[in-house]
Amino acid sequence: MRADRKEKAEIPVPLAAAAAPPTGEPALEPGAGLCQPAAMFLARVIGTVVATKKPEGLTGIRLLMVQPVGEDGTPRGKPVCAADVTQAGPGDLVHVTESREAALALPDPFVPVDAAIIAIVDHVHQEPFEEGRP
Amino acid sequence: MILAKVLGNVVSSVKHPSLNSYAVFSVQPVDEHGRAHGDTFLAVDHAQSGPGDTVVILREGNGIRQILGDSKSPIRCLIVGVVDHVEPAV
Repeated sequence: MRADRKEKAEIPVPLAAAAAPPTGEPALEPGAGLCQPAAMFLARVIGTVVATKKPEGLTGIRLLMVQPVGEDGTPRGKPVCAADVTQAGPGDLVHVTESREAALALPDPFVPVDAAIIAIVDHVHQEPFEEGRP
Repeated sequence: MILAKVLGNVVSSVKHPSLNSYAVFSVQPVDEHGRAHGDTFLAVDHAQSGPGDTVVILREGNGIRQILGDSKSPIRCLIVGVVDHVEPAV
């Protein structure tokens, strides 16, 4: 039993060694990956999805393709398929939430959904980013 | 939890009932020196913050639902504090 445990404990060591960057390569800068994943973001509706065979709880729930965008409307990253509870349509700027919270936005919260539209955005007031400590 | 700077309001009239009476802000994640780091995203305000403020953002749904007292809230990012000062060790 003890021998087994020792063997298991030793497994991560070579993995960690393989994951470490080779010497000479710049290490990740501090804070890299601060914002992964975004979790709640702006997106533009770019299309509708029609699925005839869906999980039971998703009957009557609209599915839309959304393209994540920045505050100025520039596309960012890859489009995702999101469930809609706001009756948004193609071209609308929307507020998307991801992960477990997406399913909570739907009438039945126990459905296999990981992105949902929870608001239709009327406008965004954007102020320029100013670098500096608070 | 991460630090971010509030950029501006995101105004919606059609929204999930859980978002009623809360302000939604577009925020830019920053490092300890106040430099931009990563892509902007949306966060719901629970600390009376405003554009230009550096804030602390909680990104854990279960904690957020406990804070808001709403067990069905779809909010994923919540502003839980306004930062007065950061003192980096280096």
